[in-house]
Amino acid sequence: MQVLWLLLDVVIGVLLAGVVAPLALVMLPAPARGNSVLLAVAVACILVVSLFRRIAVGPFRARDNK
Amino acid sequence: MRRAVRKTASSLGVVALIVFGYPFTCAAANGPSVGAFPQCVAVSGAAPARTPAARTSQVGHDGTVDADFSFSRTRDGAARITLKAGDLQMDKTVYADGRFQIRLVAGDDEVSAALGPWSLDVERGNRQIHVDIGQAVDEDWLHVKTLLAGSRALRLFRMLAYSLDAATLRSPGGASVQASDAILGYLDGDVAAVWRLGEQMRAARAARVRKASLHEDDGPNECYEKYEAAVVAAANDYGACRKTFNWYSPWQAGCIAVWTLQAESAWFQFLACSAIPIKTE
Repeated sequence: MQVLWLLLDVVIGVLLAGVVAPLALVMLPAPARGNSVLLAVAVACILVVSLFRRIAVGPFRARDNK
Repeated sequence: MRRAVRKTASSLGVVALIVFGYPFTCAAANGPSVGAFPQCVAVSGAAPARTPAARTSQVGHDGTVDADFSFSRTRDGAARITLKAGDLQMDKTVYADGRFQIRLVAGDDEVSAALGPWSLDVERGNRQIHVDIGQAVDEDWLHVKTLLAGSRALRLFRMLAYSLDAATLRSPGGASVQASDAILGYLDGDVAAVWRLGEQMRAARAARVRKASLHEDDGPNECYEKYEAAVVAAANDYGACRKTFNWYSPWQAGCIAVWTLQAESAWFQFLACSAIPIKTE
């Protein structure tokens, strides 16, 4: 079950990165733009989504189901 | 005094006989006994240097058309290919600078061509045509075609080149026959013969080429550049969309939705472009 939560984090994080990445590219100067920016944005978005999900929903524990 | 002169002359004669006859003693010293004659060792050791690779030749046989090939190097460094298949004989010499001469014989029909970077000489029987390639006009090529028309040797050669075994085509002799067929075919009016051969070679090489990385043709940053272009286009569309409606219009949210869709589409296209395919053709 925990894996599914992580998968959901990744999916939502990637979707969010699709919106954030163009904004990040606009904000950065031209020499700093590149593949690495997109990768950093994607990772950051996944982490943020994962963090907010833990805050909003709470960390999933197997014991909670019992 | 006369006796002394005669004695000296006879001594010189003997010395001269020994000096001039010395190398010929090797004729009796073939095989294992060569070592007993030092001069023969020297002469036999020098022999390969005088005839370097002129005598070495490779022979081949094509069972499909029953043709015998011979591939050798001449003393001036050119490559010589001879072919004999039934009534047909071919003799081709290719020089290091690309010039070549080819002679085809089939019965009474004999055709020869010498092609250099700027000139072409074609001869059939007692007729000969010279073409300056840089200044040639259509009539010159038509004259060559007319000269070669009805040549039995050329027809046999082209039929043979068409029927060679695949293993023969990979050999020097077979490749030479194929190249000659294309050039002679061009002279005979088949103007696409050389192009077809080039395409065959290109296709054969391309089949063995494996790409080292994806999207190499458009550069290593192809995916990012496409993404950037798509994002800029989406931003331009959004700017145009905003100007279409008043700032308080609820349709402004539609512009944002369109931009979001375009940005997400570009993003997922970028991800797909950057991904390593699991299965390739």
